[in-house]
Amino acid sequence: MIVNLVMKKYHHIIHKEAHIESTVDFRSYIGARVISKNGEIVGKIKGIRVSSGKMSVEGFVVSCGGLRRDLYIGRSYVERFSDESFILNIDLSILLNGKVVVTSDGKKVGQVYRVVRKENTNEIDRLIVRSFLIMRFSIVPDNIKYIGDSIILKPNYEVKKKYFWKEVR
Amino acid sequence: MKSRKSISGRKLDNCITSDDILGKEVIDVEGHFVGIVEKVLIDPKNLNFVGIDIDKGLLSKGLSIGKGYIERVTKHAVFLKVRVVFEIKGMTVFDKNDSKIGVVTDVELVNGRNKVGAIIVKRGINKRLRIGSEFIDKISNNVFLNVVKKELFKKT
Repeated sequence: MIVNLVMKKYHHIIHKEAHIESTVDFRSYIGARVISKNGEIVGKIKGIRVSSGKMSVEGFVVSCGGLRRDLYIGRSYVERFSDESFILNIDLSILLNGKVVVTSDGKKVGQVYRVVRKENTNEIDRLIVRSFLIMRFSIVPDNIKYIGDSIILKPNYEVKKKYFWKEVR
Repeated sequence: MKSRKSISGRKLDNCITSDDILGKEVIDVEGHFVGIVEKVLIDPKNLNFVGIDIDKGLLSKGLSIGKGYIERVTKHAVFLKVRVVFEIKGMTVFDKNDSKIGVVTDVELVNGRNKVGAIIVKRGINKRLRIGSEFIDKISNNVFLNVVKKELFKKT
């Protein structure tokens, strides 16, 4: 925004491209908040990545603060943006880590230990859930009724537990 | 085990007791743990079940919820049909352009029901702003307004 206010006049040397007034300096987006579809603040824009071949924006590096690993979010997951905020069209599945898993009866069966995604997309392949001690088991999305502040399973879902010395697949 | 005698004139096998409700966790429609059922409220005149009192922990005020907002009582928890509007306290408020306005410090209800009449938003150290529900577009993990900052300040 500041960059736009103090914009100088330029000699335009363009062919079919847009005028400089209708473009934005990507530096003005650094530090903008990233908000998920459900309104959760994910982090702040740390960098904007441009494809070296096509010179088009491919995605954004998001700093989540603290010791958490930075995220690289593809531009297709961005719904709209301003110099203050980037709104995503998804709720990030990796943020399900640590959420409580509850049966349809309200019984807590554990916490999400790991989210296994389909390749690098946001789609959940399965959730690895850990209960209080050392048992782990996996849940596929078909068995999930609702994902919100906690994960509620469908009725009649029988939690299959595996002991910690077995590999969870 | 002795069989229990009954003079109710009705079959009571399918009824639940206060013991089935007390001490259970309360989960709202979005899976949020609201608190633990502390009391079962009964109307002294017609003896109807009115609602429940929820204990939200040492540092939070208790909460009463009418039976109309209860979806079901299960073996382990009480599920609500709604999201408790008081839960929006502490949420960040954004305007139409996703610019930050402040943080919700209080909620005004409509006739004591689970409906937002207005929110009180803290901006800076001593500034408070009352935003009516007509300016609220969406309440999810945070609050999003349907007006831009400038327009909001003019109208409120």
